[in-house]
Amino acid sequence: MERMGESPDKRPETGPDTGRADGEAPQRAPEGTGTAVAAGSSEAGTPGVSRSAEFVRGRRRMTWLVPLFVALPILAVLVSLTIGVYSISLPDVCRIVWCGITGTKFTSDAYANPQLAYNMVWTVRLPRVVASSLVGAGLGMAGAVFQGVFRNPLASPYTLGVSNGAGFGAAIAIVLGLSMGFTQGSAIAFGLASVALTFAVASRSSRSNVTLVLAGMLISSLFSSLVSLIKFVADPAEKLPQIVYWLMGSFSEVSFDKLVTILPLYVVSVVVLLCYRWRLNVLSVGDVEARSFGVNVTRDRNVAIVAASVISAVAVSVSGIIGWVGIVVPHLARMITGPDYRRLLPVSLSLGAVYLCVIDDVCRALTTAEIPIGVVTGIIGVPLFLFFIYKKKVNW
Amino acid sequence: MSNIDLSSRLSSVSRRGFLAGALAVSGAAAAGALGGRALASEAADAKKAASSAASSQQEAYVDVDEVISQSNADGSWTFTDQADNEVTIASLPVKRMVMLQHHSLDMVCQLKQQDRVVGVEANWDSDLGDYMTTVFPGIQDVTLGSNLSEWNVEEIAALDPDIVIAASQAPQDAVQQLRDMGVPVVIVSLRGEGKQEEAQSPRLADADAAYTNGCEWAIKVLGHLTGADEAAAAIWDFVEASRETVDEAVGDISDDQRVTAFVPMKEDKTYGNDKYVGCMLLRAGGVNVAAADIQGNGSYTVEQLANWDPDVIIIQDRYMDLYESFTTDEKYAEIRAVKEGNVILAPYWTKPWGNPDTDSMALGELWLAHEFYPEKVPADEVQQRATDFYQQFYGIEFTDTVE
Amino acid sequence: MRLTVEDVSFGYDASRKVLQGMTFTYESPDVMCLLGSNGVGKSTLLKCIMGELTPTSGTILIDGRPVRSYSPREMAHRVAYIAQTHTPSFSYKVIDVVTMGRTSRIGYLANPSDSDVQFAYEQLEYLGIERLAERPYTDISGGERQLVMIASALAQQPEALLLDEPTAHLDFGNQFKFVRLVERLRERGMGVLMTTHFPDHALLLGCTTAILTNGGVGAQGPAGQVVTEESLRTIYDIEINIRDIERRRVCIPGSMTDPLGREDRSSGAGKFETGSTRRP
Repeated sequence: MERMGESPDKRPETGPDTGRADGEAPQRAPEGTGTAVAAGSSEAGTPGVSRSAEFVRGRRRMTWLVPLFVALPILAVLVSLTIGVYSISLPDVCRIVWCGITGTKFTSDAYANPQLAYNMVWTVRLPRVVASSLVGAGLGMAGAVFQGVFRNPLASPYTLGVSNGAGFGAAIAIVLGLSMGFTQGSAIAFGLASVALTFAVASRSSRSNVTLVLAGMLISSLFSSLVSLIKFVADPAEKLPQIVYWLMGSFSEVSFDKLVTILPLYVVSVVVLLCYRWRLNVLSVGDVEARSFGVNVTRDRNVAIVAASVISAVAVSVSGIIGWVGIVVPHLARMITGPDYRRLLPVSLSLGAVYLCVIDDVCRALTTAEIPIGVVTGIIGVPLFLFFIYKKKVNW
Repeated sequence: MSNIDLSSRLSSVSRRGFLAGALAVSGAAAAGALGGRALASEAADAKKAASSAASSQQEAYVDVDEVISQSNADGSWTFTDQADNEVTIASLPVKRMVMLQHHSLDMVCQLKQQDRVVGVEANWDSDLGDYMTTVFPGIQDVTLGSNLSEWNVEEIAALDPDIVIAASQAPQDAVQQLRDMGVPVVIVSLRGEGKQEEAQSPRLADADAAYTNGCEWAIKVLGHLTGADEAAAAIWDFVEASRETVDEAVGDISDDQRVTAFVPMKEDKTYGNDKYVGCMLLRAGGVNVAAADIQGNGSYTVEQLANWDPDVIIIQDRYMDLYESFTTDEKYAEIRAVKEGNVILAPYWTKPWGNPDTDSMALGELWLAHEFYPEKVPADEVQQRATDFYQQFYGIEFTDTVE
Repeated sequence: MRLTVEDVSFGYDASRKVLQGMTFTYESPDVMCLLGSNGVGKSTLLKCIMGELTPTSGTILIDGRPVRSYSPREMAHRVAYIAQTHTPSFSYKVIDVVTMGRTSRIGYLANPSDSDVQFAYEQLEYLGIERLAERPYTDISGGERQLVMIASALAQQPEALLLDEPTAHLDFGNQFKFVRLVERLRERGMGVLMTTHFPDHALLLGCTTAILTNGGVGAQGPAGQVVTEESLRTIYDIEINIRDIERRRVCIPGSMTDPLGREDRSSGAGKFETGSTRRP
């Protein structure tokens, strides 16, 4: 294990009792822990500093991760803002973004109508780029959470039926001719309803972990059948194409309004999961072990599942069903960070944002008649996943 | 061919020249007639090679007057429809018609033969407009579940029709089933040049000629089928007279003077090259900006629209939502046409569509010319022509006002 | 910590009882062995104590309070439980797994601090496996992983360890080393309550021993008194001889003269009868 970014000179020796959450300092074992092991061990270290303290100081810290994975999505967003048929250079994009933030007027000689360039960035590209980043980040994170709590490499944000539930909600709203806002709300509501149904079905069994996945499959296929039924009865000229398009996933219909409605739910869930990152580690080791370690397994797992489901549902409500992101991104992230959720979760967020943002760029750039992004993520995601398996990177 | 006089042929070639120039990356768009003609024939050659269905123009355009003048010895009539199917009608005029093609339905009403219609496609209201309820009282009673592209064969067969008029996107199996039952099905595509691989995105050697021929064929064949040959000829004469007026007024507009126009459809689609609305714009002294980048019906993005930078945006009044979003959505606000208030709502009787109706040619082209060059085509002239057309053919009062 | 198990019965369904009328007490920092044949419900009993399963009747008290009334966190401060088998999923580093033992000692949403990691590392040192600290715990041997789980349990600072057949998957040498580890834990003041299949271990440790039978606890007392030839014969349904060799007391299964039953087939030697065949 190479020790990248270790910074031994910067870490002052901290006493073992500082910074404790509840003031409960670990007590040394009564009999003196080190003595039984190796008599000569203390000679290796500096006098007065135990080997364990030395070990803690020498641990590999991925300090480079933080700036890198904060910078990546920002960079991806800025570069994405330059992509489009109407050409605006990267420096101009940066200036336009800056003008928008500071509320100043964008002026430039390079454009016949600078305000048009400004609008192109702020009202046409930005909502879409932000949406794809948010959805990608959310799905990446939710996928990582589901894989952990189910200890299953194939678990995804859609394992508990969110996607088909949301698809059903959207399809119903489309058939009833409801507005965009209602369609989105209906997608969220039915997405969460399907998770609730999955829980209800699984609660009859004591081995809730396996049964949950199984119940999720059942509920998922139930809603999938219902969606098929709606597609069958939907008006083929007007409604059916809308439903099909929605199910394939796309960011072409996205707007800031759509994002603003989901933002509170999204942010709360992401924060909850980030707060849970250590707890997720413990949960992912095993139910019995986690319980012994003092974790309320059922409650904490349910909190994690609900939060991840909410993220998935709101993501789907914005973009339609985009598959594979929630499976591929966590694996990619795990290749970089290892299984530790303290790093895995933020990196999944970051990578998910970059991944979907870039894929949506491909969708926008390749053709003017847009390819639905859900199709592209599948086409890219499946070979990528096979590659991981081939390279034995799907490690557990 | 004989129905298209030489001058209109020539002008259509030069219009094609403009399109071809726009297609080519070279800046030769403003080249003279000669250069334009050379480009046009090049483009035409390329299209022909690309389209398996396209045969030479000589074969593609049938003389419809000749078609309706023929009849079999037993009094039946055999002709070839616009998708190259041979159809035989046992006796004329037909008494029970099922109209699964909305332009044809409209034309039958212009011929005042709606009594013969025993079934109409489900979406006539959104495809044509409210005025149909005035033109064709009782249309609700004959509305079917079938629409242009989805048919219920049993429902159609149960009406025991003498003829079914179908769109080019009609389901082929269902068409065949009806033919097997002995029900004649006539495909009306409103274009010459025969069957196309993609019904809604044709590749035409000469779009203007194809649509002119196709529309004339449709009105005259429908007239012949319903025993209203005279009315059909009168409608076509009206079309030609209108076109002559337009040509006199704006026919000499040079290509660099043309009004650039954009005509969106719902779901972020627009009419591209080889759609009728492009020909319409050219005749009215405008040009379709999307024709340079899009073939047939296709999706566009706001970014493309910003690059095209059209002078006007024309929105059909059957897409009021679209008009709403173009005039209020912030993302369009800085597009020049929107900013300058040049988003024009096309009234129901102008029909600037992908395929021509007789009134598209008789009134729509005139109206567009008026919108683009009001000093050359005054409003009261358009008002008068529209009033005449409605009076003479639909037999109802024209209630709209041209401003 | 004082554990009281009173007349505890458990059955997955009403007709078949896995556990019947168990009664015993345990007090940390004692070491206590639970002996019993296959299928008598040793693992089930531990799960009932941990609150993973709810007894169909009877009461289990820790320090006078029913176990079910303890929150997982309170429970973790009293008992650490190590199951018979652990299937690792993600390739966490050994030090991370051991640090997870600190979970009940830090704030609900807090991450372990450096001093927690240090404490975890000290547990590895105590068990002599600190060299494994940075290794993925999926890549180490079963015996090592057992020690890692014990390190996690120690990091938890409970009053007692609850071990379910800890030697079941260990080789001959590691089994013995494990017994010595239990002795060290006792010296450290850490209570151990373990189920085992080896009466020798109970004798070696000289600890309190309870013999579990299908009808409840057969006997409870110091190993020297409880582990007798008769009691073992009842448990395991074979002839067992207990001999003192120098300062050691050992159990020898089978007849001293004809252990494989070559001369006497009627004794039933060679036929298996296990409790698990009675299970659903």
